[in-house]
Amino acid sequence: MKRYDVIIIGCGIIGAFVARELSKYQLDVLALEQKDDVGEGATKANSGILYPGFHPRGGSLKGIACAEGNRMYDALCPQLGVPMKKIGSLYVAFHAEGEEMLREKLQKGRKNGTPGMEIISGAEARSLEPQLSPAVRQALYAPTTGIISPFALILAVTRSAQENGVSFSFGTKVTGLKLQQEGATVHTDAGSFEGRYIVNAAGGNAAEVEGWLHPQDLMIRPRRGEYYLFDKQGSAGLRHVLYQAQETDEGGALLAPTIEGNLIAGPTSEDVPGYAHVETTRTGLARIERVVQKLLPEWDMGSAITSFAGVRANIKNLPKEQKDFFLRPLNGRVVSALGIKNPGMTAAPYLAGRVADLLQEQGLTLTARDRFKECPAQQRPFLQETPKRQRELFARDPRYGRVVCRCEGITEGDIVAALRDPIPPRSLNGLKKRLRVGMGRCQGSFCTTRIVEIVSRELGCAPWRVEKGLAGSSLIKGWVKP
Amino acid sequence: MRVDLLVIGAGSAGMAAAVAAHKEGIARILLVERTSRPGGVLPQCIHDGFGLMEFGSSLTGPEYAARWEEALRQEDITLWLDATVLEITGSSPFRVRLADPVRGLSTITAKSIILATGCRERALGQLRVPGSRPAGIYTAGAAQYMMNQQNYLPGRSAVILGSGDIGLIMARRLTLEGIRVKLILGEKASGLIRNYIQCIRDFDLPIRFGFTVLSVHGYRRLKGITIAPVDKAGRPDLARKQYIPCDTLLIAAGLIPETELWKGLGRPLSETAGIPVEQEVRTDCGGLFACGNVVRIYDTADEVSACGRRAGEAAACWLKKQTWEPRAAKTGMPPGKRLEEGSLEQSAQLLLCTVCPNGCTLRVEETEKALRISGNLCGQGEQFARRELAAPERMLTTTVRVQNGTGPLVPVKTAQAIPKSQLAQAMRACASVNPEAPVALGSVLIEDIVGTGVSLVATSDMPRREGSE
Repeated sequence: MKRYDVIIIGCGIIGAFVARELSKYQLDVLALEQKDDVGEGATKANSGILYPGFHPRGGSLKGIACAEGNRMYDALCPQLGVPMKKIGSLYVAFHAEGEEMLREKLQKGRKNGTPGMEIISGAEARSLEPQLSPAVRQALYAPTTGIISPFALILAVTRSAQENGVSFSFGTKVTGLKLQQEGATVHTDAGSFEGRYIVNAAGGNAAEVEGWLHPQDLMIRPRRGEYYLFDKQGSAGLRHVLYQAQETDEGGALLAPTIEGNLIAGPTSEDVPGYAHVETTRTGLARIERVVQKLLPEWDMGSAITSFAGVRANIKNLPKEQKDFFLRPLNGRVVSALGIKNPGMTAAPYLAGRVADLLQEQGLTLTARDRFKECPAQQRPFLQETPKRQRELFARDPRYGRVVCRCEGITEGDIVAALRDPIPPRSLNGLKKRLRVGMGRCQGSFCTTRIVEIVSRELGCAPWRVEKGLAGSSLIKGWVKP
Repeated sequence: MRVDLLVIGAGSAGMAAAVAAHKEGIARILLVERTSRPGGVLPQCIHDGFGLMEFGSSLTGPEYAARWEEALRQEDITLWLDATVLEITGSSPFRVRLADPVRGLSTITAKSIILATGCRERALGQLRVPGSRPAGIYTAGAAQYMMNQQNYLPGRSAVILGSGDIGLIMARRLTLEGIRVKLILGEKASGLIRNYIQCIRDFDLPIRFGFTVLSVHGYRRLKGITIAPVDKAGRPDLARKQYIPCDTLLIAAGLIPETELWKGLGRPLSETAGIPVEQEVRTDCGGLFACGNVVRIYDTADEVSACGRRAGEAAACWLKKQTWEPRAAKTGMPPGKRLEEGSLEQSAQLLLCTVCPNGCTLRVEETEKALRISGNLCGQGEQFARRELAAPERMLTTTVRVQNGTGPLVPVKTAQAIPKSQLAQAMRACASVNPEAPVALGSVLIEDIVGTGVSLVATSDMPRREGSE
């Protein structure tokens, strides 16, 4: 049996960044993912924000990783070809207690290394963000807060890792882990794999994976966050990420422009029984609505185009002051990442570097590869390409001229090309992640069924084999007239 | 390419606009359509009721589109299909960027533009309905396209949210094709009485007003929905919530003008979320006109075409530097009465006359001695009412599977009304024919359907697929 140098369990944002980090070295790396695509767990329903680092406890791994990670994105995004904007954030206070919290956050941020923070008056905050509520008294301004597409990011990171030699196996659920003399055997529903070292980046299942090696000490439970997404607003949109000092029990929902120009509002925070519970609720959505109206009293809730929810991995059995991200070596063969939630995406590049360090400390030799390709192949939709590239693509396939998703400007040629991606989409949701088809203001009411037709034709399968997401989520039940 | 007039959208509005402008002497007209055939939404609207005002007879959507296509051909208007306008910039002459599979990306210079981009449907997310996001939730129009043009069955048991005309028409369509309609939900009564009678009462479908969807359930495929009554302020009564299992939810909850190109010019919308216009078609941007559902949501395709015609004339006058005086609207047949709150109980005694396009609503009262019929404009109405009570007849509109066509289905109708009691039998007969493309509009596919003496005719052309033997 082939023996990998490192096997990574889980291909969320942490697993993907670890894969890319390890691909810089002369190593045989395999990444296993139980779902059929990258980033199907907590990464999927994410605020899309690069946090500045003043939220976590001062000096905690979470705080340092957040501030460091935030900085690393400045160099990373141009390499990966992922659009990112450092738009800054306003953490606002409505009352005296809130103003006190602003000062606490400023202290935390300074300890974690967040640059450029400043407490400004309500009037100054409103000059930066004209739609902001007149009731805002003060704001903590942090210039390094950024926005990014979590989908574009994880796909680019994964693609980069793959181009640099990492193997990926999707739809492969790890069912057991057993230490051997010089490594470990990972049992999965698709056979067993041998690895000298194991990285546990299983997100919500990371404690369970550790449990195969020793008694579980951390209890990780699903916590749901609900979101509203609003239509693109053009120049009338929000300019900064907005959140508020939580003086009352309003939840930590924030408002932010997305990199595509929508507005996202959320998340709520609620314990749920399982990771499948990605439904939105009346109370959750009402709570977000209150926060939106409190921060932006003039905002038109009618411009909402959808609501959705994600579930994150929350450590349940530690008091608040001990909660943190945990990166820890186990048995000299395993490095485990536990309790990584918000701001996990911001922290991921830094954490990946730390995982590599910990593997090295356990004896893994890291020898740089001769040819590490920093920049993965760029994949942009036809309409966003350069005129020269557009002419080439159109000459190759006239289907690039047929716009299928009007809202997001995606052509039939883009869809056909995405189906042939090295990490191909396995469902309409997979296509959505890669191309944003159906994510616009019409929410796919025009394009979805046309895309089913294109996919079924290109893959040579019956239309009822084309699924929305999970197995069993087909859109078509058969022919009307057989 | 340089044109005098660019018409964006070849639906009911755009086709009429292009034809009218050409008749007014504008030669260089380009009409662009983003789908693969002219007509906009018409080809998927296989039911009848179109053309009462424009052509004085009740046509199906594809037939109505075909009349306008013929007019386009006669005027020799250039039509680009699969062509999507990406952006309009500047002022007259405008620069317009578009994409299509023949030319790739191109730029058109147009002295004037008519925006006839229609509307889109409000989706579940805009209704802010909480719950999971499983497969099986479609807008009514998407389901209509699937069923009538793609031959895709959207599900097996459905709830329809929205009791306007689109919701009612889809309820009948689903029922005819064997999909169980478990409930039609609406906040208030709306839609044409004609549709209520022929789509709901004919099939005895359950409809409830004053209800809304509280939540949708299911992680893979839709499993069911929770509904509740709402009070006047729109607040749901949670104590009376109810779970309804279904695998399909159709959203027929209103239309939104498709104003993206207008907004791209940095311009504001009207109070009705459409393009603000004067005299129904003229924007405040010189040489830029708008018509049809992109301005406001009209009730019928006929009204949209009439609006398109006015836009075509207005644009022609603008190009000729003449002042435009809108002509009086063409008088034709009214589309019919709408359902109003309270009229529902009464409508049990209401009949809709289908003898002529007048479509009189007949009131039937049973006295001790005889039936008293009122509301008819002519004597035929009374005869119709007696027939309707004894042995009602209906026009059947559906589809037939075609072999080697450019599409899998051709829309069909019975040439005349057939006994209502034989609709199901006639549907089975339609399922048993499988004509070979090409099929011409008007060609008879079944001579005498289920012994009624009435023929089944194609309501659209269906060209033969290239490369088929």
